[in-house]
Amino acid sequence: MKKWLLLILVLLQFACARYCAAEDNTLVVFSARKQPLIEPVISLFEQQTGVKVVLKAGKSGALAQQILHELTAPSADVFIAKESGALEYLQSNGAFASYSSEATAKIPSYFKAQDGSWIGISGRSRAIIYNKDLIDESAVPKTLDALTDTKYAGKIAAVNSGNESLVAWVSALRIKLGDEKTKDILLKLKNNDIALLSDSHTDVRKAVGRGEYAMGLINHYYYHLQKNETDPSLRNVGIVYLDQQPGGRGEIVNVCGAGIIKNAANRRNAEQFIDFLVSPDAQKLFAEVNFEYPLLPAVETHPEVLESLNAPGTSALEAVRIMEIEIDRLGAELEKTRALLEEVQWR
Amino acid sequence: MALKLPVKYGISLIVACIMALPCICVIYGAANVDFSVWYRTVTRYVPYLMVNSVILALTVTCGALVLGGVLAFLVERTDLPLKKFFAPALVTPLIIPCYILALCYVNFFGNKGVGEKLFSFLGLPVTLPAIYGFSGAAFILILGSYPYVYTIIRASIHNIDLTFTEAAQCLGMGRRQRMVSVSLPLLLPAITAGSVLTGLYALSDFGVVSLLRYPTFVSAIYHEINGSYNYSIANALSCFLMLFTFLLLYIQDTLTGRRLFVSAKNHLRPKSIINLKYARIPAACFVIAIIIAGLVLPIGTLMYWSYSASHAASTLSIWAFSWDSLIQSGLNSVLIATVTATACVALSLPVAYLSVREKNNRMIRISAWVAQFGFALPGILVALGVSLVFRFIVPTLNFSIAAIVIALMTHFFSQGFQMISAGINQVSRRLEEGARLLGFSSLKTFGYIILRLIRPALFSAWLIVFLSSMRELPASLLLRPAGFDSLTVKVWLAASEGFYEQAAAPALLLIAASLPLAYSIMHHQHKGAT
Repeated sequence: MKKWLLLILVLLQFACARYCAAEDNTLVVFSARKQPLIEPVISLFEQQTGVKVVLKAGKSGALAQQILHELTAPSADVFIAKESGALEYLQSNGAFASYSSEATAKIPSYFKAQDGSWIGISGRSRAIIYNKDLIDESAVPKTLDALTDTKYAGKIAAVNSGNESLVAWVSALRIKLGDEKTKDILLKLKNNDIALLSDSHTDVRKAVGRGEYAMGLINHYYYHLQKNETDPSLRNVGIVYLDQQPGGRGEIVNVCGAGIIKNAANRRNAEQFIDFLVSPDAQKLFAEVNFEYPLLPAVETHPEVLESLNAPGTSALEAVRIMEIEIDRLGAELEKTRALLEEVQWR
Repeated sequence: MALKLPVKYGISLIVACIMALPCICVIYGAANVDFSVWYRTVTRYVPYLMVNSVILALTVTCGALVLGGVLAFLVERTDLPLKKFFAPALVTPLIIPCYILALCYVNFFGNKGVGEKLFSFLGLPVTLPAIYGFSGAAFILILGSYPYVYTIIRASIHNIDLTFTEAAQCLGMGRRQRMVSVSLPLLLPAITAGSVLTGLYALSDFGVVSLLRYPTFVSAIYHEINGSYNYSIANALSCFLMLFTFLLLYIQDTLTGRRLFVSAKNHLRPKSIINLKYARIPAACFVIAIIIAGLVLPIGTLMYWSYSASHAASTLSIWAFSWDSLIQSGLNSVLIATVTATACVALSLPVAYLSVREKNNRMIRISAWVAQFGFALPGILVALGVSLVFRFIVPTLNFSIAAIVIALMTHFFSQGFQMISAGINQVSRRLEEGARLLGFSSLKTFGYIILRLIRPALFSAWLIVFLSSMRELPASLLLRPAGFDSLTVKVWLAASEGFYEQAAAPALLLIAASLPLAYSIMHHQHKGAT
């Protein structure tokens, strides 16, 4: 018994020593992006500036609630969201301090808030991943309307309404097609037994890679993550961007974005971090490690992404036919979209 | 102790209030929920969640009862080979937290999973079906909870009084009749205790049902807290879950409540051993299969991932494994668990003392009961409640280490309390009275006599709360401050995004930390503790 107590005391002392050694030069980042996908960028920032970043990765709903409850004394300095809807929602509740600088000015205005409250840091588009063992490329639907055909019943996997990217996608459809048509599409997919696996696209890409489903609705970079799996037998997948035909609707291209929290304790570090996120170094990391679309025009898209778009030598934002909506309108649609998803039982 | 009555009331009421606060806040929060939200909750969420949760809880309870009962019977009453080894080994699956079990199984089964790789490596190419959904969740929860039932029923079989069955035999009852009308009623308290334990276990599980994609109340609440921008539906659902838990406890209470099933004297004699004959080998194989499924296979899978993490480096270098962050999260876990265990023991000591010494005082009995309540509630509900407490009272401390500690304390108070009151029960009141007659003050008596005599009980109470806190997932996940990842959070964040290689090392560390638990249970069992 004494040995046990001694051991635990020693361990405690270690723990305390580590806490007491906390540095003052810190930055607290709340990230709705997954830890693995944001950590490389954060460690590069730490190396370049010497600022110690404290990260809390979680789901955007929970993080947004925490931010809104701490408005007077925020613990977060920067919030990183997976899509513009969550950012706009926080902005409309007065959670962000606006910021603009030379660095942020280089990002196209389509990908940032008009009042400078948040800024896009990387782009991603919706797409379909398919398993080449189970379905031929020519048989994969090329438009959203074709996807709802009954012949694909039981073959499609997707995420449930807990996923922010899916909610943003439905919001975009509602803006573009209207509530009735959107509901019709969702209900058709539901009637075709679309499998709503979880709130994570990782589950969708893995299920398609393993051959449990022929197709999956994802963000494009999940295809590339699947393509780079360690086990070669899991890599036999392809990607199709919907509605790319001339005159087609196009795919929604959304952004992963960041904003500085109002009254942030480490405002200077936060500004430095935002500038860093849109700097060529960070943009290159997003493009190379995460296969996302760099928003800074000077940075090149990952060659694998361009190859999947059949557009070598260009940039992704030129090659993809983008659905024409204003992505900063998505936040206002959030509640209605969630109500629609609840109504069609997208769970 | 010769304290004034108001002081005694004060102590037990304060502790009960602290423990009941999260519960009260959930109800208070739910009272503020809009009528339309209640309507949506009742029509769209409650029906299917209710059906899913009830079916899962029933299946897991029956499954665990049958599995645990059969194993206990084999070990206690038959000539099973290698009994000395099997008897303790069957408890060891307890050291693997259930969500880690689920994580291993989800990836063992299914197309191109670890299992298919293993079999094709052995030269036996097979296809294994995926185990998502109800059957998988039930299977894993049964595998994770049968050791509790096994332990309880085994102790009960061990202590059964043979004179009853012998008397029945003398009176001409056949074997089957003796079984049904004598032995089973004697085992009934163990069976109900086991079934309530597993029923609550299945009802409050978060990790397994999430990983196996089987929606229940708990996973729906988690989904609402995370995915939506307010707590209202989560709050309403929590109320239903709480109601549901009470119902279960009430049923148990009416089932066993006032009946007594023990004989006045315990005649412990060696029992007749049933000769299994040809069934000996199949029975041994069955036991081995359970041990493999519950212990060997998951640990093997984790080791395989650790191995592949260190050797075949992933083509994507997106999340480097680092010893430093592993050690940091280990220390975070130890910190939380130590503070929780110490606070729990400190708070339960006076309440346990009072509730043992003042058995007939209604007020104290009720407060002791209220204080233990958090154990029956699912961890996620406690976490939501604590979050609401802080939101209403001290917003600055919401999402802090203090919040995690209070949630864990509320959740595991009962474990420490039970052990300490059992310890105090064994200290005769005469000893205290003697000390007082010899001139010790009441405080000195408490310090010199009681505290010294119940030291082992204090230590085991501390240890069990410590280990439970180390392994707890939903509260640590929801309430953690920025940058404070414990081992369980680390496993969960990595595993839920499919980075199994990164989840393996913290999971193995967590299992290693649970070893004292297995040891202490085996130790108790060896002594034939009931």
